[in-house]
Parts: sequence; C-alpha cells; structure tokens
Amino acid sequence: MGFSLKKIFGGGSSSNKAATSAARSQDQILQEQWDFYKEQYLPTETAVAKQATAAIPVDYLQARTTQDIGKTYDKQQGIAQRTAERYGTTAGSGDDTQTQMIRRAAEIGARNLIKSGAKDTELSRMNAMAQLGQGIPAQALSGYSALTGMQGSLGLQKTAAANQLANSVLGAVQKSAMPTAGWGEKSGMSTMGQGNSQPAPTVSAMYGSQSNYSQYMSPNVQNVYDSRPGPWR
Amino acid sequence: MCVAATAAVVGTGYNVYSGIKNAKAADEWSDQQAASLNALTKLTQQQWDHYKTTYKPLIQKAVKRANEALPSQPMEDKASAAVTRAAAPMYGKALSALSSAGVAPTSGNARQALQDAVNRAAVTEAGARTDARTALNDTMFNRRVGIATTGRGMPGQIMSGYGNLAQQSGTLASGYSELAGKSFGSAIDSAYSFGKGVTGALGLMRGSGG
Repeated sequence: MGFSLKKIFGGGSSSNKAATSAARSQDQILQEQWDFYKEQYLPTETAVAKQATAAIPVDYLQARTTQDIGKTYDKQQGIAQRTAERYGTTAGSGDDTQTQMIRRAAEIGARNLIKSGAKDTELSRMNAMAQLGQGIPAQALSGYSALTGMQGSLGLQKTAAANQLANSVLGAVQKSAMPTAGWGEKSGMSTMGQGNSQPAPTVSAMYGSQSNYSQYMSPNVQNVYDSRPGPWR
Repeated sequence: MCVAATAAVVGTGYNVYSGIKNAKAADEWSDQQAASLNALTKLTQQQWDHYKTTYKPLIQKAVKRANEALPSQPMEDKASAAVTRAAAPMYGKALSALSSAGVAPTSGNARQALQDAVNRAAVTEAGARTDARTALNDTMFNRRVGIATTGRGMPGQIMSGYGNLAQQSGTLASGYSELAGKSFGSAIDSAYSFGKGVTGALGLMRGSGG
C-alpha cells in the first residue's frame, strides 16, 4: 500500500494492457465456445430437426404390429396348449370365429392407433423443434441492433483517431512554420492530443480567426496579408 | 504584505498536504481495486478451466449418447417377456379354478375360457411390443431435443459476448488512441522546444559574432 509515483503514472498504461489481455482471453473463450457449439450442438440440432420433419413410417409400423399380433397369438396359444395338456385337455387351435374376430379387431385397432398417433407425434415433434428455435430471430435482431450501434461508433472511433493524427501533424507544421512565435501556447496546440478535456483545434477553428493568425506572420507575409481585399481579412 | 505572504505559504502548504493525503488514499483504493481484479482474473480462469475439464467432456459424452440409435429388438422382447411372465401362470390358474368349480377342463366352457385368456394375453403382448417400439423412437427424439436444449443458449451467449467484446475493444481503442495522441503531442512539443533552443542559440551566436 506504499505511495508510489510510478504506480500512479504507470497505472493507465498497465490497465490498458490488463484490459487488452482480458479482451484477448474473452475472444479466445468465445471462439472456443463457438467451435464447441458447432462441433457438438449444431449437428445434433440439425439431426433432430431432420427427424422432427421426417414422416413417421406408418406402413412399416402397421406391418410390424400385424406381424406381432400373429406371433404373440401363436406364442400364447402354444403356452396355453402346454398348460392344458397338463390338465388332460387341449386349448384349441384359435381358429374359432370369436378368436378370429378378436384378433382381427385387435389388428385394425392397432393400425388405426398407429396412424393417428403418427400424425400427433409428427406435430408434437415439430412443435418441440419450433420452440427450440423460437429465440433465434430475437437473438439475430439483437445482434444486428448491437452491430448497427457499434458500426457507427467504429466509424466515429476511426475518424477520431484519424483526426488526432491529422491534428498532431498539423500542429507540427504550424509550429515549424512559426518557430519564434508562441502560437501553439496561446491556441492550446502545445497540449493538443494529450487527453485534456478541451477539444483539439480543428482546421476550420484555426483559420476561422484570421485576425489572430495575422499577428504571428513574418513582416513580409503580413504585408501580403494586409494587401488582400476586405472579405479575406 | 507579510501577512498575505504568510497566508499564501500556509495555504500552499495545506494544499500540498491535502494533495498528498488524497493521493495516498487514491493509491490505497487503487491497490484494493487491483487486488480485486487479480482475484477476479484468477477465479475467472479457474471457472473456465473447471468448465473445460469437468463439463465439456461430460457434454461431449451426453451429446454422443443422445445421438446413439437405440436397438428396438431388445426392448420389444423385454416387453413381450413381461407380459408372458404374467399371462402364463394364469392359464393353469384358470383351469384349476374351473375344475374346483366343477367345470371339467375338457368341457367346451373351460376351453372357451382358456381361449379368452389366450386372446387377452396375445393382444396385450402385441400392444406392449408396439408401445416399446414407439417409446424407443420417442426416447431417441427426446434425448436429442434435451441435449440440443442445453446448448441452445450458447449462440446467444457468444453473440452477446462478442457484442461486449466489441464495446470493450472500442474503449481500448479510445484508450490507445488517447495514448497515441499524448505521444504525438509530446513528440511535437519536444521537437518544437528543440527547434526553439537551436534557433535561440543560433541567434545568440550571430549576435555575439556580429
């Protein structure tokens, strides 16, 4: 906690460096996360969206169910037959009219259930996916909104940097043109670009006050200046 | 005159004292801020490392698992077996019950009762197989949706992160631009002072020479 001038004067620069380092780490994490999303989640989302919009193979499922009913009847009939034999009787062949009607009714019921269930399932899957992607337009709009604001400030930023450089060069030219005069000190040029709260002088501001400018001219230039027509002065 | 001079000296001394005191306080709080920032940097890095070593592999595993196709045959057979386990003993129990009630197992009524039990069991088993197949398909879909849901927030976070980064970059650009301006300003001042010095010296030399 010691008092240190170095710390005070070096603070701005080290803060900028730390902020730069943090920004680079942030950039790296964002890139890593985006890559991770692209590798892991994006293929899953694409696959599940494809699955959601794919038609359920109703014919195949109906055929499987019919096949199942045939097999399960044979199986249960066999088990019942073995049990009946232990009681000295037979279970029958299952060829009776009532059994055939029940079996046929079971098949038709199952086929209908599969058909209507498939439509419901298709719709609920598409709904699930639609809900999953519902937030994307808002994200995109938010992203574009942020872009609009920041692209504008980027333009201002670049213009400000260019102005700063241009004004610095202009200041140098002005000073070298008037080596013995204190123009810079009076106009604020000596502190130009040093982060003071006063705005840096602009070209129009400098040339806007011709009467002040004239006092720093050499005698020969002053004569030419004085001989100019009124509006110029 | 003397009083005014003394007052000016005292005032100046007090201002210097206040300046040093406030500068010390500023320095202390700056140190505190720096310490907090260091802690934040460490914690941030630790959390990120923790996420990378613990959660990322877990997510990768979960994504892989969610995308695996589930074989339907074992599930259908399991459903069949469950129905059969319940139905098979019922045939014997039904015949025993009928026999106890005086209905001969060989009678038409007994055989019909047995066939009814077969019908119920067969339909139930077929239904169980169909349900297992459908549930499996739904499970695969729901697993994928579930894992996709956990990752759906990522693009938004990333976009927001880039937005923040862009803003911070703008702030940094301003900071560096300001530093650049200071450097240019100092360079111009130095060059100007140097030029002024040289001009003055030359003037003196000319004056002494003339």
